[in-house]
Amino acid sequence: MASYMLQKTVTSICTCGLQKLLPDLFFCRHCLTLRCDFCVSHEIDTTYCPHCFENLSSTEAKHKKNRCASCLECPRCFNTLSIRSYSRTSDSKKTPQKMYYLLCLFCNWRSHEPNVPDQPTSSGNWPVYKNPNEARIVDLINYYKSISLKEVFDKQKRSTKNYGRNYMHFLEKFGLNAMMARKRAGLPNFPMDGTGYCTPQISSSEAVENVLELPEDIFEKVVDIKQISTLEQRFATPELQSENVDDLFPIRKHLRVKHSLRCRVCEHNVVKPEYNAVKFKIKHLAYYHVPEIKIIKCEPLLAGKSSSLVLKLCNPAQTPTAVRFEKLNLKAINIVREPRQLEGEDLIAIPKQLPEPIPIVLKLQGDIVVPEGEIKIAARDDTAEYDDTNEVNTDYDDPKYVYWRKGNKVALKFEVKPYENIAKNENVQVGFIMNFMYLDTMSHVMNQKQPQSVLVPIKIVLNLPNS
Amino acid sequence: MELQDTFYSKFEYVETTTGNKVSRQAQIYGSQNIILNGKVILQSGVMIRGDLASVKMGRYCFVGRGSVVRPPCKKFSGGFTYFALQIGDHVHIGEQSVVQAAIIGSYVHIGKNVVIGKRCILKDCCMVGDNTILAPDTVVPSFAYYSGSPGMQIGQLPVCTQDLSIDYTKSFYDHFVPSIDNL
Amino acid sequence: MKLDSDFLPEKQCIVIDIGTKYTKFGFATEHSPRCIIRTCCEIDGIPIPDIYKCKDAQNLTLALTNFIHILFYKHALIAPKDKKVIIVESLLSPTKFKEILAKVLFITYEVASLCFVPSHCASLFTLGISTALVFDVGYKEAILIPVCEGVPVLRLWQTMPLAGEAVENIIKTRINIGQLSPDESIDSIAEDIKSRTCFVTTLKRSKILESGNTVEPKTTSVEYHINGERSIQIPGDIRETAYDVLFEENIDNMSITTMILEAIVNSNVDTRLKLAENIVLMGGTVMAKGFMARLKEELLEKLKSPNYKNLKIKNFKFHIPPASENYIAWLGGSIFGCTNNLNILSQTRENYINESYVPDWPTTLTRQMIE
Repeated sequence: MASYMLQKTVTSICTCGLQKLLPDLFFCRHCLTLRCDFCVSHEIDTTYCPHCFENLSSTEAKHKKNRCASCLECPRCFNTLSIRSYSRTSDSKKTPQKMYYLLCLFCNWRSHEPNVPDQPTSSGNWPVYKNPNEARIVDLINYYKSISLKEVFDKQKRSTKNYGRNYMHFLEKFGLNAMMARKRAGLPNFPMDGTGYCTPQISSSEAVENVLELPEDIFEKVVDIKQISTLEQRFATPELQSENVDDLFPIRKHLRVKHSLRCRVCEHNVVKPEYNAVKFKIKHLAYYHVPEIKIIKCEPLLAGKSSSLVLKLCNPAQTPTAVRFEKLNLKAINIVREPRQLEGEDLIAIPKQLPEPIPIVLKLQGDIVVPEGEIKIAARDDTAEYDDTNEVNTDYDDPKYVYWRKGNKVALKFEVKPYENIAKNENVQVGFIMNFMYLDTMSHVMNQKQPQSVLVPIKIVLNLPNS
Repeated sequence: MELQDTFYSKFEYVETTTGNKVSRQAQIYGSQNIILNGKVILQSGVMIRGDLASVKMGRYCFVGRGSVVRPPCKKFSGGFTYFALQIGDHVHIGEQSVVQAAIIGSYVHIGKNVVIGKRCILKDCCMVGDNTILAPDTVVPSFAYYSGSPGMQIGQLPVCTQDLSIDYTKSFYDHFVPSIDNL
Repeated sequence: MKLDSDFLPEKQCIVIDIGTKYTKFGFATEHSPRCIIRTCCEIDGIPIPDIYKCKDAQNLTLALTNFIHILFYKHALIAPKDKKVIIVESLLSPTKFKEILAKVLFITYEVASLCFVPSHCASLFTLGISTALVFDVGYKEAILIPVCEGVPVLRLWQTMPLAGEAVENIIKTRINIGQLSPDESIDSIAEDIKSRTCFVTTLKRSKILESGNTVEPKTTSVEYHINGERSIQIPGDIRETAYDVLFEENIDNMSITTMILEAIVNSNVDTRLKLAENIVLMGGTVMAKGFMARLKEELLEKLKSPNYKNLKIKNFKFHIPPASENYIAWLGGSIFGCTNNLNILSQTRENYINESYVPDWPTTLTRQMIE
């Protein structure tokens, strides 16, 4: 697991030109090409709170400004706050009343610090801080809105004769919604020609001569750095940005989203998450189709000398496959070989302009001798784990290349010859193309009932340690 | 890189019929409260406090050297209460970590030298990086990669985390073999 | 007549102000940005600390793609497809940057329309005025452009690399942070020291300190902790003089003070007084304690020098915006996004694909092309 996150010894080059690890790649079953995070379009599937896992609809999330209504974060260390209770007895005769306050279990921040009053319910209607300048900004917005409307009216007025008493041009300008909403609210319609339309007046800002001076005591005051908020803490609430740690208010937890991914070329989904689980409705990942390559053994590399390298290929698919290797031609590296032209249903109605692929820049530091001919790999069999009889037909294998076989795995011998001028202690980068047989079972190809085998080329780059 | 074999001394480890490999140097308290569902590896110095409350561990779990697995407690007005600790399948807990979570889902990877605070909830398919400190009551959602102090989400795990995790824990178990000179 | 925001056609509009250090991001019609985050991203696990420094078009495309992705999917939580976008940008922002940003937004993210708003003009929306001397002191450079009746007077632009970065460099040279902490965190520690302990001292004290004398009362030093392990003393004189670099004149007798005066000297005689009495400061660096007071002092002091004697200006007046200075350009963009003019001035995706050209802001020719 951790090894996947950190080691970048074996990378594949995605169709868009980026070098990625196999688990990060997707495989579009319609285009039969690799896709990565960068070259699929992301859509928002569900919005949820990462603490209480409440799912919100997109309108709800929009209304709540992408913040969870119940979970709060510590303004000092951004850890999620816990709600604590205590009993209060104001009058010894009455039953004690439970009161709640917020506590950060990481840095011990309490909601008493900025004087947030304790709440009688645990769900707590924790007070929301307000932007002190809200009224002024609302005035400004209304002012500029009406000015721009007036401009529109003035323009209309000049050319109003052509329109006659037609409302349609207003619908364009203000949207049907606006007209309907006004009608429903019982407000008069927009005056036809803007007569009687006046903009609200605002007082424009007055420049002042007496600017804020430095506080008198700033020089001598003993500064406790712990009492001054960091920029990160200030920017968590942009409208306040208070400098004193004691004035920081709890922050509502920001929501997160689950993405569903779509191939940009054919617009088919490659990943679609399920509503409330770690399962997926659709997941077309390279990890489930493309044979995985792992380095088993690599002899110490010496400049200009050949050394052997054993790679393990593991077929993750339920169907047998075959691989064929090719040398990587640096000159033709940017030519995209499409295994299949899109046709029939796969073609989207209006082709879009797509982002340009990224030119691949590779600096190889060695030659690699790849096995010749086709090497078959058996299908993955989940029951094989409990089955010791391991019968694989090895008759056709060339012992020069095939090291061993086991179930859906095969170890292959390669030879690496680093260039003469490689630097010591620097990884040796070598590359090759692996063509693997993909059994296309989609019934999307016209006039074709049988599943078809397609050879899919994938560019592989190895970063071999050289010490 | 393919996983390398991890060798252990045959005398040190006890292997149960279900394939659990438990070091004799592991400190297991309250063993009647501990359930290991099979193919679990507990290395030397691991402490499991089954005496506080029950501890349940799924298949193909691994607890690294010197780690502590301890059911969480909560203070009430009447005193302390300990809760059961549940760990799912294919969970890897690195060396020198302290785990006091309430629930750990399946396919979870916890790094080395990590502190998981009391009553944390780790959902399925998540990862906690090395040297992370998770404050008490933290919830780690699925496909999140948490790191830092306090632990925060810093990344996203790939869609195939579940299979990666199964592959990793299985092959780790397969590569956890007795050393030859002890045979 | 009061217009409620519900009456206008609803199509979410996103306002982005990509600064050299911090990016302000939010929705139009809202009163503050949703987030202020560092302008940085990762390409294949390699962090890109400064997107504006990406010289190579390829890298810049990748960096911007990743950055926009973060903005939309981590903060806005909406798909950018068919959304309106307003970019608040400096008039001096490189054309290449603008072109690549437009390409990324239109082609990769398929936004419905895009509008570039010059930050100097946008900031005036927050004040309700149309003529001012707008001075933006951000991280990389200080940019001054006067705006007359809503039109930026580009002829009078002034720019100097005197801003937050210069202050941080002073702190870095005077306090040896490198000894105490690994290299990659030096920048963030310098920034932290700057924002949490430093302030802009008065002109009088600055002059005394410069001459090597001591002032009374002496500024206290601050104990600063690094990584919770080490602690260093930040001497009082560094705390109060770190910002002085902005006011020191360089070899051409230029500082941020003279930038303002030069712009006024070169402006039309009729507008001089108006500009001097309508100074708008924006950008994060102007939020330093005492900055405005010091600037005023310096301006009045400089006025006595022979160069500016015949300006006939007696005092300078500053505007106080209804928001923190570091996001008033964004707020201006947000207010602009409420108005009908947005639809008129935006370039639509169809137009971009047909013309494959981003209009530069001042040409009326391109305006016609959009319409």
